Amino acid sequence: MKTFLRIVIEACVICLIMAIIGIVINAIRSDGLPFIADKPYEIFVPCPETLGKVEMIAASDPRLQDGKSFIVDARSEEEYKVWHYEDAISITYDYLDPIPEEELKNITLNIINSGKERLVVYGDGDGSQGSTGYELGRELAGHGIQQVFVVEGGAEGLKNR
Amino acid sequence: MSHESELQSRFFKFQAHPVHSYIALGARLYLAWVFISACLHKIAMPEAFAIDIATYQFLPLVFINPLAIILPYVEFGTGVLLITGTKARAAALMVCGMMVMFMIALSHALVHDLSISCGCFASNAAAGSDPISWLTMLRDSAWLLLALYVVIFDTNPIGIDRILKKKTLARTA
Repeated sequence: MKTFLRIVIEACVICLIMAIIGIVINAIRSDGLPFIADKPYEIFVPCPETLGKVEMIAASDPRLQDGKSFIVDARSEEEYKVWHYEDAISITYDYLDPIPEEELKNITLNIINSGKERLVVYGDGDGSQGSTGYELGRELAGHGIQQVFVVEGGAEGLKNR
Repeated sequence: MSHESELQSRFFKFQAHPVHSYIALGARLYLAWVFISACLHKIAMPEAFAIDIATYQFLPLVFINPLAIILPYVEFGTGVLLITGTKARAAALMVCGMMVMFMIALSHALVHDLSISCGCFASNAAAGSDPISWLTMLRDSAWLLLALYVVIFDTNPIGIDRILKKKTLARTA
């Protein structure tokens, strides 16, 4: 016990000596810090990743028509009005104008409460990474929805199936 | 002899075994390398290190700069003492203290899902590829165990202290 106490005291003394050395060197150097920061540091911490995993589904897949799929159109409302897949609802995805977090949560709740087995999203482009359907699918999957599918070929694929 | 004192004497016998000095020497050199390489960028760029500390969002503003000023030198001193074998057990105890401190900050960041770099061996801005994770915690725990080993078992550390002890004994003999 005595030995341990001696070690603790030695450690404290060493800490004190090194702290004094640090303070003196900091006071001497030209780029030394003020001992107490006068304003908060501007820090950049990226938001936690809220994107989930999605699977691809063919436009001709029979699961699209079994009544167990909640179908979402990620294109603009104008495009949705011109044509949309049967029973699909419109949730426009715009990379530059993200859907507010609260709205995303509400959408997620609506999807979960619909009682459907899976979520199918389609949008612009071919449905690969970067297309609206794929990105919206990942956002919704990141908010707790499982079984999220993105239509290969997007809206065009569904039209031409 | 009671069971307790028998256990105690067995422990002391085991603790005094000379092989511990050699194992502890390896642990000391490794920990010294870790701490000296960790302190260099902090000494060179104190402001970047202060930002690293602030990024953890753990300490109040008033403690950030004092820690950024003092900690790198404590790490450096610890490293030097571990290499030279001067007050090696005290230095290892300091490593234990620092590791516990780092692990508390790390778990705070992990629990709050902060996507930040560790900032252990390079500043956050320069170390985008060194994100914190529970693996970082595992690594710190391993270092803590090594330091504890030195504190408990390195009763006669190889190095300057041993040489001085021998000289003192020779003089008194």
